[in-house]
Amino acid sequence: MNGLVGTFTTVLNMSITASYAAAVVLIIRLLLRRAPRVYSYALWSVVLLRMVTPVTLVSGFSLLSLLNAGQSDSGRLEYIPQDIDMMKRPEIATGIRLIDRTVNSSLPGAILTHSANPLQIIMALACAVWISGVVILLLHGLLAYWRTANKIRTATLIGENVYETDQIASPFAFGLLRPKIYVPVGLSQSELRYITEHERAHIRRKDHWIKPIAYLALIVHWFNPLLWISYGRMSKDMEMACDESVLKSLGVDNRQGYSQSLLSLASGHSWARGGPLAFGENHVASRIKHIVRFRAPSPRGLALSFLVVLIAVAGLAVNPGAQAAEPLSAPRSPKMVEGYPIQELLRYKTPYVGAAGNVGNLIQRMPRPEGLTGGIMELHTVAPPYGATFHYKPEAGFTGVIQIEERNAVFFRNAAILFSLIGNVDTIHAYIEGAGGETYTVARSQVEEAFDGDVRKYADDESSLAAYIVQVQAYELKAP
Amino acid sequence: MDNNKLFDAEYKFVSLIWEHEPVNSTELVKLCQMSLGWKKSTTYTVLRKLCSRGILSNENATVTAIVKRDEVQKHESEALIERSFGGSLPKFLTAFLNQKKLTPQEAEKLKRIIEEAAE
Repeated sequence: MNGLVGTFTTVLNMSITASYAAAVVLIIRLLLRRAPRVYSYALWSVVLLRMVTPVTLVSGFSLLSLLNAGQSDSGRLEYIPQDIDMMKRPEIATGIRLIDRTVNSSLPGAILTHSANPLQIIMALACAVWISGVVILLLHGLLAYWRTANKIRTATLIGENVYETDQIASPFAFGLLRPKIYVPVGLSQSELRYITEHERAHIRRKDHWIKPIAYLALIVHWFNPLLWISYGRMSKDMEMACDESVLKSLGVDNRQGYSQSLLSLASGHSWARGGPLAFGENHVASRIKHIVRFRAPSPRGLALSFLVVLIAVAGLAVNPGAQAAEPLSAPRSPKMVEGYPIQELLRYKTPYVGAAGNVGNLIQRMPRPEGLTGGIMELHTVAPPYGATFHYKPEAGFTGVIQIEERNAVFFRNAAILFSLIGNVDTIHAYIEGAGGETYTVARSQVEEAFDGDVRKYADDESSLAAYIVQVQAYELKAP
Repeated sequence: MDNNKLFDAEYKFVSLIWEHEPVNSTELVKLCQMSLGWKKSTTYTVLRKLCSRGILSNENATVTAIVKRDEVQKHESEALIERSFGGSLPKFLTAFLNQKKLTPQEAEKLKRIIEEAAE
């Protein structure tokens, strides 16, 4: 069950990224209204990419760096941490402070006396609802496919790869491997010519693959209304792109005849449902408008549109890189300075303590006092002063005695370094579990006093961080 | 006589049989493949359905039509005139002719049919 909830969380994260991408695409499409529809249609590919892949390339240039999401080890954008249902005080970081604040203040925190974290139960329920939705939609799609396949079984051949039957009301192409064109009976010669040209354009573009794949992705994200809207727009763009292709091959003088065929087909017959795996001819009104208004674009307009699409795709397809230097390199052996892996620490540097992924990655790379192991972390980001509490518990099998002074020194040094790497954290607590529980707190002001001013400047590059760490290690912690 | 209502594909199929009957079923499959683009299973399925409706008969792999072309045509035309012209033959003819002119031979044939029907 846990693996399923994990998958659900991944899907949620992908959905959020895809929604941002979809919003950007919808805006950019407005710019491309004059351009050939193929360009708008091509843009949707990034949204699909985001819906389907949690892991992508990292690049210095990414439109998504406008979001502030924590990045987990594997290069996923995580607004909802994978272990949110395990966190004592669960928080999310979507990059929009208003949403974060509103949601975080309403997420139930763990109640220490209960054995199950209420958020765990909520997530499990949500996951179950999600799975049921997916299954239902999948079955519906398969049923529609099967029904269409039955209807066209007795269609008769009237041309190369074109079949007619009186069982359907509007034409479509059907079949994944060897797609055939199906038309209703009683089409005139010219109507037939337009229709088959249109469907052939679909097949050339591999639309008979793209639509089902997009629909499958949509099913997984069924809870996201923005993606349903995107699917609708994408379908429209797909149809209009094929209309343009028809006009191109048959000549623009044919546009009146073509529109007429579309109109007679739409008004003469009742709406047939071929299901999402075939594609019927819908959105007739907007298509006719588009055909009538269509003008062959200038080469300069084409080049411009192409550039816009290229930039948009490049910007939306990649995750924001943590640093500009060597974003695609494989992980190297960490360079340690006095026990701190500075390159990795710099990688997870973040201005926001709410970036749970980053903060988690940072504390994991900090040394722990002898005899203690790390536990969960709590992030306090609802209102300033912002803080973080890192839990520690006694290490199983440790037989020595924990030296309090040495332990506190490690806490202090870790905190000092964390204050340079996490921009807006004001207090860092170490909570040691055990009888009564003990908290050791370090305030940013303490560190600033000890190390002469704003320590965030030390995290600018490797050398200054290394120097800072050396300083920190040498610092003698005075007894409180 | 609603049993005789054939949809488009069935009509084409039975037409093939009217043209070639009595026809061997294997031969029929080949014919359907050529003129209708049907695969073998489709042909056999349609054949089976029409046999169970009593429109075709398939004995010893030979297919014949029980219902003849003129019977089906009668049914089709009756249904058409009933549905679209309220059962009125003159209305149908007006719509059908609609400024078209008849050749002398067609006019001659029609006159004879009308004379016979008037008796």
